[in-house]
Amino acid sequence: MSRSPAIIVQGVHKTYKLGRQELHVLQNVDCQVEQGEFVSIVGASGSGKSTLLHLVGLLDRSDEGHIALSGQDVSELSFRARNRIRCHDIGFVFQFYHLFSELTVLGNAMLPAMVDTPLLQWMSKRKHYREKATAVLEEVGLADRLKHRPRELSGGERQRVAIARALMNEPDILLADEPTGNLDSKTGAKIMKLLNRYNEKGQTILMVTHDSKIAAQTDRVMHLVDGRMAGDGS
Amino acid sequence: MYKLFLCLRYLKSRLIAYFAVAGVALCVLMMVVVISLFTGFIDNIEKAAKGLFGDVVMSADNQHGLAYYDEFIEQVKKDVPEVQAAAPYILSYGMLRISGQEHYRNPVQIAGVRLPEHADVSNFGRGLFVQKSGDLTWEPPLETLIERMAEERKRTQDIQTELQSRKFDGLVPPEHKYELGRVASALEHQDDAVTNLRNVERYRSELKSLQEQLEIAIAEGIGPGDVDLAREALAQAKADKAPEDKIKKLEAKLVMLEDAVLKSETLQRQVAYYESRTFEGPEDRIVLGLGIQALSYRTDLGDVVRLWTPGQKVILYVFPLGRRSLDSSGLAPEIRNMSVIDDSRSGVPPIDSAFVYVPFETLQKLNHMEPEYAQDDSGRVISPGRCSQVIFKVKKADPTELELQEISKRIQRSWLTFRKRFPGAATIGVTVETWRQRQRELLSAVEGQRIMMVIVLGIVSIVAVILIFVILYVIVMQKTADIGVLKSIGASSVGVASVFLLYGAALATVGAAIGVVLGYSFVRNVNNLANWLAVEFGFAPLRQGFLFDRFPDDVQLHTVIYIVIAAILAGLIGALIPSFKAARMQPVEALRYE
Ligand SMILES: Nc1ncnc2c1ncn2[C@@H]1O[C@H](COP(=O)(O)OP(=O)(O)OP(=O)(O)O)[C@@H](O)[C@H]1O
Ligand SMILES: [Mg+2]
Repeated sequence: MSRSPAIIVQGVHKTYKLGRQELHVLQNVDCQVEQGEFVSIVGASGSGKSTLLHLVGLLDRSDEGHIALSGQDVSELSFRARNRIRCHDIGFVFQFYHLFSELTVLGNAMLPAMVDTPLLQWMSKRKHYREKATAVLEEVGLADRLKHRPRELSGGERQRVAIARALMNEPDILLADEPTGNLDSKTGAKIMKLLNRYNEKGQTILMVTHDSKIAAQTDRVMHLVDGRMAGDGS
Repeated sequence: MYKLFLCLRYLKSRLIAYFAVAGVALCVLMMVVVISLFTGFIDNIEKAAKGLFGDVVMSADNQHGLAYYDEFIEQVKKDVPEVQAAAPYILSYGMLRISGQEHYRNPVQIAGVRLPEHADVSNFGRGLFVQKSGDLTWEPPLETLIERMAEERKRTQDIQTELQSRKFDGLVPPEHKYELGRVASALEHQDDAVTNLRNVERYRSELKSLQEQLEIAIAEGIGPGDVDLAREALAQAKADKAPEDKIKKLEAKLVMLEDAVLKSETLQRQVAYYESRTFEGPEDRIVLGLGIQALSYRTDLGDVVRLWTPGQKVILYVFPLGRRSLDSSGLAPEIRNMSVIDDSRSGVPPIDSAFVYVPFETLQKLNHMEPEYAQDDSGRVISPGRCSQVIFKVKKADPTELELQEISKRIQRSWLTFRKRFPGAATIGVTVETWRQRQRELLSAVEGQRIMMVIVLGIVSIVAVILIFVILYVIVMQKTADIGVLKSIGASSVGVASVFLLYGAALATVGAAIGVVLGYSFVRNVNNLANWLAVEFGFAPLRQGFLFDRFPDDVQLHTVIYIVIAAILAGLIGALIPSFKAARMQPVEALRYE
């Protein structure tokens, strides 16, 4: 692991244009996440939490400012390079799981590996990845659900699949956008326990939530108010 | 790797995909059927057209025709060694009537052909019914005719059995009764024909002796008038109270005359009877196109029922081409009794329903184109015999149009030198054409059909493209979140696009595979289907025209390959816009909502 911080966000602006009106969603946002840290961002709905997470996850580009992941400035990279970073270095977990309903649990978990591997190499690596995905699913507690379809799972189980998928390619950073937002508090707590366990093993996690109880279970909480950082807490 | 994997998964578990597959399958089914049947039809016609009049035809530019054709053929064979065979040919116009059927008349084109030479330059020999093999002749042996007739009788009987075996709920349709009646009368004719053919030789000699007797009777000057005279004389004598012995003598003469007249009338009737049953001489034989109205017809299953039998008498009217004098002797139709000995099927319907074939020399005479010789003993030719065309066949088996055109040119050149030797060979010029040039009307009609087919298939392809487009568009819309996830785990835009491109192609491939299987089985069973339709619903497309016995039921491999490629292309094209849309989708947008 490199010594530089996992995430550096510097002076980032994001503006949406709605017709003539400009919507300043993020304004001069600075923040930093160290390697192995578990940080949460809280804020009111519409404060720009998801937008920030998307910028960090390279799903969107900022209008101004810089973002560095593990010391590498990613703001100006080419499409290809950004795709590769998304694939290898970042794992995403969404509020609504976004699993592929056509694929089994195992298939969903293996998908990032498939994206990473050309067709010809797949033949030789298939077994390896299958074992790896099975291992990850075991870790999240779904060892006996490999052949199930997402619609046969509960919300908590689905989120576990999503987490397994996000971790499949062993990313440096795990980004989670309200991973418990759609779950009851008991299930949410279980998911948090799981995330904490990964964090203890050294996984850097940046999580968005609007639930302060959930946020309290992380190393550090950042507050986002109307697109500005309102000071760090730990 | 995910592209293929996702694509296969989408294929399996999306109901809408089955619609796309079914749609493509239908389009492909249609293509396989249309192309196979159409090209089958078209190829058959083209093949038939090719065999009609040899490879190259030389025709006179006016009705006066070509003279010294045999000499010319000799020269061409020397000048153009590629030519394998050649034969003179006359084409003229006339009318056909059937002896014994007052109301029948049919305009015909009359071909004067030499046998067996004509079979060497065209497919004529292949389409004959009686003379299936061996050297063609205008005098086929009676045994062949009898044998063929016996076969034909059996075949007609099978047709009858099949007709009789059909079951109807309730009312028997009147067409069916009519059909049964026609077959029954055909069978009756065929029965008669076999017996008659067996007796033809006997009839011939019988006829000869009867004719001799009749001639003697006529020479003796005995006719119905003489009986009347004798009767009057007897009445007069009785009225005059003539002597007893004179009256007795007159009475005896009357009896004798009455006997003689009776005998002569019987003879005449017998002559007519035998004449109607024996054949005309070898120069008055005729071969009918199978399709000439009222001499044969087709059942609803496409089987031919022949209503003519060998020896059938027909009357041919020829409107002569030759002799340019405009008086009545030059213009009046020539009328000739002819005996039918065979029928011919070229496979080109307009030819088969209009053509009859008679011996070349006979048609020459009927057209006033025969050679004229000096009356003295020298046998000098005053005016040479003429034909309207010379047909050439080249040695090469499947000559290209270009090769044939080259040969045509050389024949033309050969003609120019020939004309210097024989200035009277033609009054104006000649035209040398390849069979393709000659049949351009037919071929362009066929080509028109081909264009129609391409248009139909174009529309079908567009339907397939639109189908795939719509369905993929819907799928891309439904899969917005999936696309977002794919991008979030590092899939490139091109990668996402290729998922859907591949998906379109896969839908098309599966659809094409199903369509090909269905289309293949349809085409292979098209004849069974047609028969079933004919029997159950009276829908009988084969009845019209004498083009085919059966529907062409061949599916060609290259057709299938083209269609499958076209279907996959259609899938790709249909998938293009949806894929593009998927590629352009912003991951953030895609993931925003559940
Ligand atoms: N593509 C867009 N076009 C216009 N406005 C947008 C767009 N995306 C986000 N916004 C706006 O940006 C603001 C921030 O959105 P964002 O999703 O980051 O909020 P959030 O903090 O995640 O809220 P929530 O807690 O409800 O998820 C919102 O007001 C939203 O309407
Ligand atoms: Mg949000």
